[in-house]
Amino acid sequence: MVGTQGATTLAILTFWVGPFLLGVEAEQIVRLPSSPRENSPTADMVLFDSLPKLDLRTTCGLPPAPSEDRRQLLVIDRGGEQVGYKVDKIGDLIVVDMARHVWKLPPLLEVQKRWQQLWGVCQWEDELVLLGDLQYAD
Amino acid sequence: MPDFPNGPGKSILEQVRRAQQNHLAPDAINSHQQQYLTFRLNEEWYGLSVHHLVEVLPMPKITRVPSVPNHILGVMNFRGQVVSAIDLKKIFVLEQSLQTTDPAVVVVEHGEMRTGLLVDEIGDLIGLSPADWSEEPITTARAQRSFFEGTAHWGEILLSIIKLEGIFHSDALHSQRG
Repeated sequence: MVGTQGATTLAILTFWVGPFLLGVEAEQIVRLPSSPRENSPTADMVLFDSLPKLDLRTTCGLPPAPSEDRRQLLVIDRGGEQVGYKVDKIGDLIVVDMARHVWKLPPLLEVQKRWQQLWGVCQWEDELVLLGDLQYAD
Repeated sequence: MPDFPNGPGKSILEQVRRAQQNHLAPDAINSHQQQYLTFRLNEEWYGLSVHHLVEVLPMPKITRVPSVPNHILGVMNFRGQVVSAIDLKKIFVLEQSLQTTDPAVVVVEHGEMRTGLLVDEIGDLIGLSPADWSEEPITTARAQRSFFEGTAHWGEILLSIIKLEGIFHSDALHSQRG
């Protein structure tokens, strides 16, 4: 969480998995893609070749990606252990006002979600971004 | 009966607000009548008490959510609050129509929870008195009887009157299947 002029903000990295726009708190990520080379899927996959990896397409109930070539990896620190999450495309690093633009899941969804890491929603421009806690073991 | 070529628009919303205000001041209206919003799913018409009604929206943007039962359409931003949107047809086990020209979302409040209900078309705001009512629901499926208070005549149309608490407490809504 980042304090900015009295407001509490949340830095979130957005990413796409199929049609779903998702986000994770930036502080959960061990390594953010910071250059075009590092942002390339091949570089990510090679760099973290030995990590245990989970495919978020499976978590989201989607069929396997037609090709793994263009996919990217989010590396999360889970209590000292690094875990890789395969996503289709990394989006933007955004900063949102927690009081105005971040919400918990509506009660109905909280009860019915099958993906337990899903915890909230934030508004970014015209989009709602679904927030996951990837440090939490699903 | 309905005449909203561009969606429900302001007129129905103003009617709803007036009806809700009147409901709070029952002496001002015929106390034997209650106000209902009518809407259509496929070929069937339904009535919902304005008691539960918060707003009627022309089709808003709904964001899909992964790994939820298929009666949950997703989430939407309603007046700065995120609410779930559900597909009533899935709850009522109705066929999915291929094309809907005037879909809308009816935002309802049950307890402290607001939820959007997707409907095919908004009808009108009508007053119903006890004489218009029958407690026998149209549906014969036992599992769905708890969703309805009964039926009422609206001109030549038979309305199924929705019992919101029956839906919100139902296994169909809380099932994780689908």
